[in-house]
Amino acid sequence: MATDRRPRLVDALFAPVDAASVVAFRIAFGALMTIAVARFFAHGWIASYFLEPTHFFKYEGFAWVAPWPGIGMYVHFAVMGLAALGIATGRCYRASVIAFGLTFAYAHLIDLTNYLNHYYLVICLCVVMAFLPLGRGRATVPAWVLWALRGQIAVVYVFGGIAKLKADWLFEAQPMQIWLSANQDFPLIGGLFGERWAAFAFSWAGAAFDLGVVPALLWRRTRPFAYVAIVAFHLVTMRLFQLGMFPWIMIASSLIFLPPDWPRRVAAWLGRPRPAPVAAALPSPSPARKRLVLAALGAYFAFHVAMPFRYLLYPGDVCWTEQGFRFSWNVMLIEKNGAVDAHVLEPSTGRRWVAPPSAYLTRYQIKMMSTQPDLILQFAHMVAADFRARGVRDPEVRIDAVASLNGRRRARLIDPTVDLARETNGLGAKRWILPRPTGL
Amino acid sequence: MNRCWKLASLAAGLVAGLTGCSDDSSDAERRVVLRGLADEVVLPALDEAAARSAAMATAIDAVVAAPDQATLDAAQAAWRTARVPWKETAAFGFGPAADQRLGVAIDQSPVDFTKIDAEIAAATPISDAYIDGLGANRKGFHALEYLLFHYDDDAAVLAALTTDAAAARRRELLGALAHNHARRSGELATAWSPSGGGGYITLLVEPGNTTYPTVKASIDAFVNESVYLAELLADLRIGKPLGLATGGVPQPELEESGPSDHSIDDLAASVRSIQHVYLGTRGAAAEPTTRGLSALVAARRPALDGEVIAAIDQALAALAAIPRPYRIAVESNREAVQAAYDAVKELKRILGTEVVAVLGTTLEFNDNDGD
Repeated sequence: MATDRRPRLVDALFAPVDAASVVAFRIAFGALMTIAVARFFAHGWIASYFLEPTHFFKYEGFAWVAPWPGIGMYVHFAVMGLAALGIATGRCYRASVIAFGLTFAYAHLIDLTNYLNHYYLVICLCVVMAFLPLGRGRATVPAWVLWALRGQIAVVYVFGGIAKLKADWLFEAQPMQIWLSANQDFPLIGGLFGERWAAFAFSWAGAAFDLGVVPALLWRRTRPFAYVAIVAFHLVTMRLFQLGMFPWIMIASSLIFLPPDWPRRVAAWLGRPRPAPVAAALPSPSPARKRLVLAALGAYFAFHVAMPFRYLLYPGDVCWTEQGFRFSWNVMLIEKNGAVDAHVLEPSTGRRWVAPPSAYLTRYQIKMMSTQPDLILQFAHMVAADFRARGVRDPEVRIDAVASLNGRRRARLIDPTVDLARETNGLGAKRWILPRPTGL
Repeated sequence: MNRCWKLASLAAGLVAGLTGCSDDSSDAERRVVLRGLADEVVLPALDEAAARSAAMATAIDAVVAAPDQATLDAAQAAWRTARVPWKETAAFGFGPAADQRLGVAIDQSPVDFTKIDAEIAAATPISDAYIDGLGANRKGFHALEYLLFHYDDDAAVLAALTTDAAAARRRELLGALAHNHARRSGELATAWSPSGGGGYITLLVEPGNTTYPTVKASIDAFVNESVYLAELLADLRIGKPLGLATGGVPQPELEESGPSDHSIDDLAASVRSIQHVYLGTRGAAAEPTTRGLSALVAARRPALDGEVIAAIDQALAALAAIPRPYRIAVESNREAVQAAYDAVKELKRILGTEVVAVLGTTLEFNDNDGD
């Protein structure tokens, strides 16, 4: 039976489907990205993130990525905005999506403190979309195009849900208790937000939503309710948290789970019917091409399945150590605050200095660095480099760092006896991260 | 459209409506705290700072008119008296103080003595508008301090105001600076005032507006400013003069109010500002009528509330234990200054980690998105 099923599945993946929904996805994505770029101009973020900082935190392998001089970053974002418009309009689609993806990725590779899960999602979508035939003039596309986009969106919810299957989230209702109690002026139901049971209800409902919404979207009978749940969920989180474009991206992207002809149905309902495409309008691809497409999709999604679980290779609580935390859809999972100071010693003279982060970083960078051990290591290296440049011989840098996770008492995050100037970053476990305190 | 979709659309409309409307009756506890902070801390402190600044201008008028030891003593005392309530507003230095740049017009530190001397040497007619046009490093508290104090050498100050070749111009500048300071301090109090003023306090304590869309945003403003202030005091006002940034070499010239020997009082008043916001009262009454952030923290974690109060007290005690003058202490009583640094740093850490967590505060250093 299994051998019979595989060819049918392959045939189904290469069967033509109405292109209307993927075109709608492309238009919505381009429009939202245009707005996202406009927000960078409107809020002055280009200056505050790329021009005002004097030091930047680097991604492994991307230390060469730096802000352009002069007005370069403004030009960069203008190009990004034009490319986003190109995606929305479908003109020069492939060039537009590649240009947008590259400029977007470059900008966000400049400084690791700017990492956001939804920026990662945008880059992933650009990678996928760069290989998809989403330009103008297509009536049908192979079904795998639709499923590639569905798969990418599904990854966010499913792994976001799996990430919530942690003791703090499920059995302590943290950090939900903290977040809800701070938002008791939420319309109508805010009065309940101070109740412990409400935090548990939200925590469990949130995990259940993330884990269940994709299957619910895929089943015709539950699809309308699942989509309404998506709208409700993202509107509520948008009101509770400062999430910018993320809710809108997810609300718009989730439409990809509707039947591929949904835009035509909506047009017909609005009294402006659009003719359905002629079926079987696509040439049948060669077996080699089919194998290539399937292998690429398999490799891509295998990567996405593996990445969120890489934290299992490291000791300790991933929310405390943050080893394997990024690129894993740990979305709105922790409430963590920290404070860091660097203590510098010149061994040959015994001279000592205290180097506060404010001497090197913007306040936003300090906030982000203070809870993330790999960024703290980079900060120690910045301090060491600075003191070497000032003529201090072989400076040793020890970090005095405390953090509070999900309402716990503050505790030391970094071993203060370790000279971080001598430690290197990399994929190995960082032994100088102290264990997370127990209990809440 | 089938029935499922119609039902779902109805539910979506309901949710959108719910998230769009507001409900003033919820979160009463935090609203009470905000109202208490406004009535018991913010507005009285700003009013007192403005009144003391006006009194300082009057005292300075006297020394300008007849510079002698008595009028100088009175003007110096008025400067010190004005300085304390002003520093006690530091934990709410957001809003008009920052947005309208009134804070730097009143108290920029450091000022540039060379540029102030250049103003004295200049011939440009002095007026209030002229003072408005001066850079922040040539006016405010520390410009006045420069003209009124010279460490312990009052004779030098009086000589500069009487027998120096530029004495007349110096006196004229002194008077104009004082009146400009009083006007700016009054403007700041008015900008916050709910009655006949800018009404900023109303935005803060009645959230639901574009500046403070939620109660949380208003509470966050106080918490953020307290965290920032504690950090500034530790790193800049104590750590730098102590030489923590210079390999242990003291930098007494970096103390905030050197000529008046008021730096330790400045530090203590700033910590008290955090205390006032935390406790919700400016007085030392055993039973305050309202409570500040303390009420919110205590409701969630009583032990932490006690720790914060103890940390504030410890910081104040450590500052009080520093022998005066500060510029000498940073060189010859380093342990006492180091103890004050450690105490203020600890306060910052408690506020910036656990208090922030318990209150669900978003440390807002910009308006970027999350996740």
